[in-house]
Amino acid sequence: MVLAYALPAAVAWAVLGLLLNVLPLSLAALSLIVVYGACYGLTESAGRARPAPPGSRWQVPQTMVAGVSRRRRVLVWGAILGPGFATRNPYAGFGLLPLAVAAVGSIPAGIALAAVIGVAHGTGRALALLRDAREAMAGDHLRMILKSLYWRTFDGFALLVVSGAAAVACLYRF
Amino acid sequence: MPAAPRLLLAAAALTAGLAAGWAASGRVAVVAGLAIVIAATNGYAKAHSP
Repeated sequence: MVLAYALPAAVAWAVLGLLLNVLPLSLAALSLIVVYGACYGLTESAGRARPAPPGSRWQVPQTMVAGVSRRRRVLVWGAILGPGFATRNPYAGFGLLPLAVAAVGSIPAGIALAAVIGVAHGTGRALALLRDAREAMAGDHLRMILKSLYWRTFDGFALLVVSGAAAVACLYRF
Repeated sequence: MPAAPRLLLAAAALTAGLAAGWAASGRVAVVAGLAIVIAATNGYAKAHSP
């Protein structure tokens, strides 16, 4: 299952890594990381709901996974949820990842970082599903909301750390 | 969590980022490394979003 999530994620992110590093976007991406990280970092760490993080509201249609074998269902979920681009994401940290890839400024390093990011995201997603399969079946919605709030705060602090590091990287380049 | 500790932690996070960037002489590798951590936690945390 982990492979079904991590492999498509690595490929999708590697392609993005190539595209984002064809043009010299490094300094612009670093500057955007500073602003994006500070803005959403403060929002999330303060526990505010707005502004909502950028992203898609699309969700996997039931028709794609209903009435198919378990193996095919895992492959469909893995291919869509592993990379993380298509579905709704309540954490602003995800939006920072393409900027970090663009900030690398070299095609081979950009592809490598993007692939590692893809593997990290896909593996994290698969491991969470494997670990929490029993909890999800118990249907503890309130607990899920509380966990989501905890992760949102954590995401905010992480964004602020990245924002600070990117600010120094910008200063060194100017 | 009350507002004051949140603000304090936010300031500490920003300072930690500045310190890490400075210690690495402004290398993008720090941002890249942090992005990998965010990607892993984001993937994990997304499974907890209702």
